[in-house]
Amino acid sequence: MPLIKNDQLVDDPWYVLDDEGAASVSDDADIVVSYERWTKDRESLVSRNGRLGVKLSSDQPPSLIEDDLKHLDLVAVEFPRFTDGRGFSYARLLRERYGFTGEVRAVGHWFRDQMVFLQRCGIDAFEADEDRALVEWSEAQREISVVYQPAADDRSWVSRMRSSASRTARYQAAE
Amino acid sequence: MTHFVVTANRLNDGEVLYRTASEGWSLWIKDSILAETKTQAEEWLERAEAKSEALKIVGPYVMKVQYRDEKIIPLGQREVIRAKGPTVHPQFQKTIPDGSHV
Amino acid sequence: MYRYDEFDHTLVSERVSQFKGQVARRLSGDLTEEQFRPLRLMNGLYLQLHAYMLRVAIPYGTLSSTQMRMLAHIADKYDRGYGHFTTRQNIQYNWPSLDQTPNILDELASVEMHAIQTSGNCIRNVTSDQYAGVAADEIEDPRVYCEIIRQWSTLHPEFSFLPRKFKIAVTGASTDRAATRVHDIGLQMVRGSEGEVGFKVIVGGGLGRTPIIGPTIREFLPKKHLLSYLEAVLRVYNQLGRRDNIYKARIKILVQSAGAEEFAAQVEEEWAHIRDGYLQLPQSEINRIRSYFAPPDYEILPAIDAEHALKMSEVPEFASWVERNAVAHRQPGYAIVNISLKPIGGIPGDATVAQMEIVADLAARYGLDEIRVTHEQNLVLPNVKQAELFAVWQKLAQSDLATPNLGLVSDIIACPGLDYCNLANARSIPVAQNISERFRDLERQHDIGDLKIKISGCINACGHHHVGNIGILGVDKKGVEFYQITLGGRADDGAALGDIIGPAFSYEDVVDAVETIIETYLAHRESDELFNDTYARIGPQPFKEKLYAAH
Repeated sequence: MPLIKNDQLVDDPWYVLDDEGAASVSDDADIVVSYERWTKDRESLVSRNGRLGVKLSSDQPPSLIEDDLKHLDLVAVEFPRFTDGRGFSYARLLRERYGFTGEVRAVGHWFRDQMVFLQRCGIDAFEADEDRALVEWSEAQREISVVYQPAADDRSWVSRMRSSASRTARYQAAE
Repeated sequence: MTHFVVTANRLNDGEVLYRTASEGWSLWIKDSILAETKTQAEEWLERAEAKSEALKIVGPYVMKVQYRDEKIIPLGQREVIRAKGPTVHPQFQKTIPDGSHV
Repeated sequence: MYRYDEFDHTLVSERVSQFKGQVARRLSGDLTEEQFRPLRLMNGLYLQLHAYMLRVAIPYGTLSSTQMRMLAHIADKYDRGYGHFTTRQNIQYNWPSLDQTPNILDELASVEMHAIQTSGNCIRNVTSDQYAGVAADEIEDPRVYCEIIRQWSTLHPEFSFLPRKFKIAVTGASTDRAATRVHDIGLQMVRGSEGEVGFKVIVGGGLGRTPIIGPTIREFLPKKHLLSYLEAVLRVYNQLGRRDNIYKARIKILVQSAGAEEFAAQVEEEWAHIRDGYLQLPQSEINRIRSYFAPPDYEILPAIDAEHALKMSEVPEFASWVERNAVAHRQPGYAIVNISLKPIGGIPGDATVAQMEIVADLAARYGLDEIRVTHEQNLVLPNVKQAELFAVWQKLAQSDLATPNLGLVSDIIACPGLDYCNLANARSIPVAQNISERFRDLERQHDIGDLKIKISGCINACGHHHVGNIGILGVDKKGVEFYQITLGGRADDGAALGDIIGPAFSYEDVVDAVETIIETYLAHRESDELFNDTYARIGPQPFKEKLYAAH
C-alpha cells in the first residue's frame, strides 16, 4: 500500500511479513514484523542486513519494545477502528519518552480530520489507499494553525508563544 | 393488526420521514406504505437506501405500527413522539396541510 | 471575564471554516453519515428525534451580556425562539438545520463562543461553581484554572479519541456546588501545609449506568503541576480504559477495577516522567489568565442599604424572593441573584428569546455585565447591588423569571427526555411540569423546604437522578413509560447516591408517588430536619409502606 510521507504519496519501501512466511524476502529487504514474531525470532531478525520494523497492535504499548528500539528503524502503530485512540498515546511515548527517531507509521483506520492529531503525536507516515488521501492530507494540514498544547511535534503552542511575545515586548520596552 | 413501515430523518433538518407507496418520503405517517411482514419492509428499506435520493436521508429503519380503522398508529411512546412532535410544545405538534394534527 | 486574544480567535474561526467544509461535503454526498457523524459530534451537533440539536459550550458557565444577547439572537434567527440550559452549564438549541449550523458557529465566534468538544469521546466543557469569584467561602476563583484547562484540552491531539467522554469540574469554595465527586476528574482548591493553594484531585466519580462517588487520588497538587498531572491521568486512562464495552468505558470503571490506590500509583508513575516538562504552568501564564478574572471595581457600600431594607418590609413578595433566590455576596452591599428558570409548570432550563434578552439587559445595567449558568439549570447575576435588587426583581417578575423557588420542590433538574432525545426511554420534562403544578402553592413549597428532585429520561443520567434527594429515572417497558424512584441522594459535600425505593411507577402515578414521599417526610420530620436527614433516620420502610400499601 502507498504511504503518505513528507507530504508526498510514495511507494512503501518496506515489506510487511506475516507471522509465518519470510523465505522469499531477500536478506537486504526492509521488513516489518508483528510484535509476536519479533519476540519469537529476535536473534535471526537482528542478524539480517535489511532494516527492521515492528508493528504494535492497539493493546501492545511501546513499553514492550522500549529496550529493542535501538534495533528498529520503524514502529507501526495500529488503529483497529478510528475510535480506538490508544495509538495516539503510544506514538507520543515512542517519541517523547523513548526518543525514537525512526519512522512511526499509522496503519489501520482513521479519518482525514484525525491526521493532524496523529502527526502532532509523532506519526510521520500513513498508509494511504488512494490518491485522494494526499489531497485530504494537504487540506487537513491547512485547516487549523493554532495549537494549545505541546506534543511530539515541533509546533509552538499558544501559552509559549504568548510568553515569548510578552518577553519580546518587555525587551523592546526596555531598549 | 401489526404492520411495518420504513422511517428516517431528513438530512438537512432532521424532520421525521415515512416511506410512501410511490417510493418517496412523506412527513406524515398516514402516507406510509404498510408492509405486512418485517422482511418486506426491510426489502423496501434496502431499495430506498440503494437509490440516489438516499443521500438526502439519515438513519432509515423499519418500525412497527398498528393499522386500525384505516389509521396508522405508531407503536411505543418513542414512535408516537416522533410522529407527532414533542408533547411539551403544543405549538410544535406536527400538523397535516389540512390543519389537523397527526 | 476571559477575553480571546488573536490565538483564540484564530483557532475558533478556523474551526468554523473547517466545519463549513465538512457540512458542505456531507450535503453534496461526499461524506456518508457514518463518516460525518464523528465530525458533527465534535462540533456539538446531534441528530435527535425530530431535528438536529446543537450544544453550545458555555465555558464554566460564565457569560457576558453580549454573549447572552447572541444566544437569544440565535434562538430567534435559527431556532424556534428558545434555548435549553443544561446540567453541564451549556445551552442546547433543538431545531437548527444542518446547512445553517456553520452560520450559527460563525455568529458564536463573533462573541468568543463555540461548540467545540461539547460531544464526542474527548475532554468536554469544564464546569465550575456558579458562584465562582463572588462566593464568600472561596479560596480562589476556580475559573482561572478552568480556562487554563479549557485551552490545554482544546483539540488535544492525544486525548480526542478517549475510550469515552471525559468531564472535569473545578471548585474553589469549601461548599461543593460543582458536584466534583461525580465527575471523571473533580478538582477542589485547598490549602497545603504551608498555606499555599493547590488542588485535591478526585478521579473516577460519575453517574450514568454505574454511579460512583469518586475517590481522592491526590490530597494536594501544586498549581504549577495542574496540566502535567491531568495529562498523566488522561494518558493512563487513554491506554488502559476499556474499549470493548461502551458501558464500561468511563474512567470510573478503570479506577474501580484497578483500585483507587493502584490507579493513583499508575498516575504518579506516568507523572514522574512529565511533571517537570513543558506542561509546567509558568506563573506568568497563571497571572495573565487571572488578570481577566480580577474582581470588578466594587463600590464601597454599607452592608445594609436602607432603601432596600424598607422595600423588604413593605413588599412581602419581594422579600420572599430575596430570601429564597438571593445569596450573600462577599462584597458588602452586593448580592448574588439567582434567576429561576423553573416557573411553575414550566420546562426546566428553557429560556425564551425575550427572557434571554431581559437577562442580558439586567446584567449590563445592574450586574457588572456578568451572567452565570448553573448546573441546576438556572441563571445567576453574580454582582448586583443590594440597592438595585428591587428594580431587578420587578423586571424579572415581568418576564416570569422571579419565581422564588430556588432549591425548593419545584426547582427540578430534568434532562430533555423522550420529547427530544434519541437516547431517552421516557419523558422527563412533563413529569417535572406535573410535579411543579402539583406543588404550585409556594407556601406549601416553603413549608416543605429545601428538597432536590432530579429527573433523567434514561440511564445515562443527564438529569443527575442518582444524586437527587428524590431521584426519578424513566424506563421503557415495552414502549410504555415507567419511572423508578430513588431516595436519599445528594451531589454536594456529603455526596451520596440514592437508594431505589421499589417497583417503578407509571407516568400517570409518578406525581402521586412523589407527593406521597413528601407527605411521609413531613409526617416524620423533626423540627427543621432536611429530607435526607429524615430519610437517614427513619430509613426507607415508612416510605415503602405508604407508596406500596395500596398495591
